[in-house]
Amino acid sequence: MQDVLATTGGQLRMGPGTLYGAIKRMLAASLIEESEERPDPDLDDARRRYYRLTGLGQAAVNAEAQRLEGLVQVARKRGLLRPIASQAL
Amino acid sequence: MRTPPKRKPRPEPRRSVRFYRTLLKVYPRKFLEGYEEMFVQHFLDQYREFGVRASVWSAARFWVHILADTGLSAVREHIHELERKLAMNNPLSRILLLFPTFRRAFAAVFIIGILLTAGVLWVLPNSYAGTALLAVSSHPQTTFDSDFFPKELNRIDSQSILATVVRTLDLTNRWKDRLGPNGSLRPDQAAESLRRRVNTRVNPGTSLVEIRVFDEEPKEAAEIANEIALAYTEELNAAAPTRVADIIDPAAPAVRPMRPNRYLGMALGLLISALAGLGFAILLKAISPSSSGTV
Repeated sequence: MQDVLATTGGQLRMGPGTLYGAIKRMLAASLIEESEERPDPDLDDARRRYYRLTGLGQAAVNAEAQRLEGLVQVARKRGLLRPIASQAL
Repeated sequence: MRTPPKRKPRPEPRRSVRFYRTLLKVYPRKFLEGYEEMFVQHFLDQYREFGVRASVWSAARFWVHILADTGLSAVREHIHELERKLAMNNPLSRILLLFPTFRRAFAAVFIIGILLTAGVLWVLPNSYAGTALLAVSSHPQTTFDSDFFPKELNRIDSQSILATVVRTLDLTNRWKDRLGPNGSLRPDQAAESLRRRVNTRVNPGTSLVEIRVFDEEPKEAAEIANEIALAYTEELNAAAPTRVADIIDPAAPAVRPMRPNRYLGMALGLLISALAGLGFAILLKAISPSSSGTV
């Protein structure tokens, strides 16, 4: 969750209800599965559950990323997307 | 050199956790199954991230975040749970489950349509028909007149006949509470109201004239139809040298209402709601860019 917060620049903070609702739906859609691999016991918490992407999940992520990339390319081609450096100025 | 005192780990905020565990009861039981401890753990992580103990402002932000998240996600999960239960019991829903946007749009319009139809049919008052049958013929010595029956049908619901019926049956007094704008009704208003309730026709290929009157009371509908038939035959026979009109089948109180036809109305409502739902769902699916990837 801290990763999501950091990646989105603090804009997206998922509460427990939103997070576990999304996890349950992704599990139901076989996009993720529970993983038995656990980190070092010193860093672990017995109550935690770990999930990993399934092949289908990977394909879905890939397709979505490509779709978004396509949209960005269209925006860039039409001059709708300014470079980050110029935005900062 | 003094070593800094070792910082004790802060105890768990028991009251907050207890309150959060109570709050979790708003979720469907099945949704929470096996996940409650993870919810609490996540709650505690965010409790620390927000720095709840640092200031009142942080505490307020944290609780607004938790309450909003719990409220919104609980509503969403209850809807999912309801949809799941409906889908389990409904073969059509199982097929539509393949298309979440499609299914939701269809179900929403379909249900609204059915409720609307049922509501309208429920609210509409029952209307009973009283039908009197007359045998009417033109004067035997006159030549055939193709306008004879249209003229006679106009005569049946003419002002003079209806005024006679209003007077004979005292309809101004009987209808004043039901139809009078201020609890009173003038004879011309009663006659106008009566005109709207009368339907006349000639049975095709015969000289039989049907006088049908609609009313909320079956007995009153029959009584009015018979009175119109009587007033008309008397007027017609008085003007002719021989008897030219007879009541051959007086109206009797109807057992079932004529309008609304609730079975037909509900069947039509079902059909129209299904078609409207289908159309709306197809339209929504066509214009929605994210309709294919919903989970």
